[in-house]
Parts: sequence; structure tokens; C-alpha cells
Amino acid sequence: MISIEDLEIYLPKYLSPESQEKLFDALNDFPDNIDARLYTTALRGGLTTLQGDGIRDLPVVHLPDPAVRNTPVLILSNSCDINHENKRYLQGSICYAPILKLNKYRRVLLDNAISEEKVRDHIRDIRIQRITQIFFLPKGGEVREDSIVFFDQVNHCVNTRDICADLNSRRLFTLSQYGHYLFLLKLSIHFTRLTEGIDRSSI
Amino acid sequence: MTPTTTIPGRFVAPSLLTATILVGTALNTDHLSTEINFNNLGSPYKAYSWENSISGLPYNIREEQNNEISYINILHRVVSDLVENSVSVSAEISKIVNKEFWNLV
Repeated sequence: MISIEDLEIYLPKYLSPESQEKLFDALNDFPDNIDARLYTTALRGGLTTLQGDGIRDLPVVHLPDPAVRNTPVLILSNSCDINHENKRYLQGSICYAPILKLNKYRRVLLDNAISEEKVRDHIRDIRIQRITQIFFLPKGGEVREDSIVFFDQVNHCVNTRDICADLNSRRLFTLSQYGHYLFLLKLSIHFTRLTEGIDRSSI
Repeated sequence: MTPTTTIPGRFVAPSLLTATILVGTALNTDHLSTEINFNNLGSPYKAYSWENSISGLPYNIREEQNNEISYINILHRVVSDLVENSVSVSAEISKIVNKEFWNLV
């Protein structure tokens, strides 16, 4: 039988009891609180880039198109993995995905002959975080308009100390505890769900 | 051992043992339950004398365990909601996203 102690490892023990309670109060209100509560200003001016941070102007490619353009992005890498205070033999890269404007996305779908009804239903599903490969970033805080991120549009950039320092000056927003938890749940479901339905055999 | 006391309500779930039983029971359901409705068991719930002694454990431990069961219940509901109601992007829309990518950023 699973004991309470076994289950405790799935809870964020690094939080104070008060923060933990606030986090779970917010999660309990999901999906009726997908709004500015996804962001926090408490860490504004911080010197560390965090997972889920929005960053202005990082280089993005969309292969096989060889063009490279700077766009706003959402950091996918784990905060610890990109922190230069953590000494490593090999400094990894920063993984991120471009932030797209939801209104432009809607317009493009309509312009490409997707019906009004289909687009409306699709946007509704995006707004309540039902699309597994899309993370919805609602307008609020430093986010000027509703935006989306496709988890399958991952890009990376080398993580030198200079680049990392520069990221902090280009931060657009930081996810709140609740926003980060929701982001992690969606990221995990998108990349690691066991639903492929294939018996791979053992050899 | 003879039952000694009739105990009403959820705050009779004080011990680790009882909390473990609660979670174990709850894991067999779609949504984790934080309490057992003793009124549905067919007869009044009786506590054994050893339960009285372990119910003397500090209350804050019991409260913490209740919270954790409640938190796991919430996580389970949110993940279930995300997984069970998940929708994929259609192939038709994926093609448009790829074709129009630079018009979206």
C-alpha cells in the first residue's frame, strides 16, 4: 500500500506551508483562473533566469527554413540547468520556444479557410489549456496580449555567462508558483505521457 | 478487542495508519477522496482502544496529513482534467502553422 510518506515526494516541499496552501488553492480553482494569476512580479529584477520566463528577442529558427529571427520566447529549460552558479563539466544550452500572438494565429487560421466555428472552438480549447502541445499565456501583468507557445517548436541557444546575464535584462515576465506548476504539468504531459499504444517488445 | 466509542465526523482520521488507509482507499477511485463517510458503512463506526491511544498524537501531524491528502486530491483532479479533456491540434491546422510560422511571431 502507498503511504503518505511515499506520496509526499510529489508535493513541493521547498515551499512554506503558507505558499503551499496558496499554490493548491490556485490549482483547486483551475480552470477558472487562467488569467494574470499565472504571473508574478515578486521576482522582478532578479538575477536568475527561471523556467517559464518570457524573454525578448532570442534567435529562433524554423527548420528546414534557414532564416533566423529574433522573437520573444518562453524558457523551457529547468531553472537549475541554466543557472551559472551550478558548476558543471559541460555548460548546456538554453531550450526555449517562440511566443506567438493568439490574435495573429486566429487571423492566419481564418485566412487559410478554416471555418469560423472551428477556429472559435479551437481558440476556446486553447484558452482553457486543453490543447496538449500549446501553452496559453493570457494577457495580464507584463503580457500585453493573449499569446501561445507550441511545445513542439523547441529552439536552443548556448548558455554562456554573457548571454545568461543579458537574458535578465530582457525578461518580459515570470510565471507565478501556480503558473509554473501548470506549465510543468502541461510540459510533462506533452513530452512524457505514456499513451503511444505501442508494444515495443523487450529486445 | 471490544469497540469502545462511537466517533463521528472526519476528524477521527488522526493517525498515520488511518491516513494511509484513506489514501489507499482513495487511490482506487477516479478522484482522491479526503474522507470516508462513516454514515455509509451500514453501522456506527466503533473505535478500538488502541485507536484511542494513537489519537493522542500531536494534532499538527494529523492536520499536515489531511492537507497532504487534500493537495494530492487537487493535483490528481488538475492532471485528470488536463489529460482526459486534452485535444490535439488537427493536421490541417498544423500544416498552416508550419506554412505561416513567420507570420505568427
